[in-house]
Amino acid sequence: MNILVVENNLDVIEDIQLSINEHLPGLHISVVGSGEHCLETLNNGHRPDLVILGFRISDMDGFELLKDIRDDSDLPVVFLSEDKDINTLVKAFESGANDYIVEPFNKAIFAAKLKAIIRRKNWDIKAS
Amino acid sequence: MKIVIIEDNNDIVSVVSLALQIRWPDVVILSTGKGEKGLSLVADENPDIVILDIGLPDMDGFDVLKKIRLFSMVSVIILTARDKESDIIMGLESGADDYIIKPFRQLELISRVNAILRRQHIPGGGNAIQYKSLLLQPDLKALFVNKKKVNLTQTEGVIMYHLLRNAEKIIPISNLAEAVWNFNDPSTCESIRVYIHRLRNKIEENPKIPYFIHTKAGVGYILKVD
Repeated sequence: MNILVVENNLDVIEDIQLSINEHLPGLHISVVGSGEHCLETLNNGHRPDLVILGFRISDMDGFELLKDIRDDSDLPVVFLSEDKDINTLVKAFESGANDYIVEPFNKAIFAAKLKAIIRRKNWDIKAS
Repeated sequence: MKIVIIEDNNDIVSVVSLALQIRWPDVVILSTGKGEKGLSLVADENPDIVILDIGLPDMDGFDVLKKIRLFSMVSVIILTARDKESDIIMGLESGADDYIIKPFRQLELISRVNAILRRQHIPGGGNAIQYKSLLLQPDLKALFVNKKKVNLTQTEGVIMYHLLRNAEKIIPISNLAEAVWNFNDPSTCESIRVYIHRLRNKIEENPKIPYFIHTKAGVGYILKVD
């Protein structure tokens, strides 16, 4: 199972890796730092099972990237941001996020949320 | 849409119900303050979403969730004041799709419910849908136009599905926006116009003089072959 992380901040990337390595061993993580690389990765046939989308990508607005991802697929996307403002959360969900997680995050809870999203994705595939 | 609320605090039930009804006026809400009754409601009513409190008088909400999961994959949002790490992890690992801590922001609850509904919104039910020389595959990703395959994005597929399902009827732009995003406002309506433009470029021989998708000025669109 593969997770694609779209994020520029090394500390956040490290937190994500620590969370997954400790609580979801066996998951493979790829990291890209730009929206363009994210879309290239998604279009090159190596689709991840879930995308973790950070707010700090340099080349695109995170919400627009999210809409682009959502336009083409129902791939689960978790939006990561340090912004607690309700309007940002609402916008993320309206843009297609499956979850919105505020940084800094609890690593165990973060992993549990990823697991729940992947579980739901598998259930939906089974039911279809 | 049908939602079951399993919560023993009537004030919370009222607040949640009102928020849901404002956002979705046609929503059917069933509620109970007891876990056992909640299990019956989920089994009998087949809701789209369950909103579940953990501190119930007759049984632990986590046990209610585990029992639900024995017979149903219904989406469950836990709504509780219990905010310990162990509770949150227990809830998610027991099968909850989301976990919201009280006191909660109504907009956040609505956004999370909407995200679940959008994910569940898979029209077609496994059947291809046809109108004249247009045939849309059940997964909404391919449309055959005069037997020639045209690939669609997910959003294009949803729009095409609703046009085909309502062939020869005018569909307001707001209805299409609602169908795609469970939400409509000027920006989503403008997005629909963009997607219709893209669809015409894909399926019409001459997109400037459409044969299939016609505009009804000031209202919306109609799929019709004269």
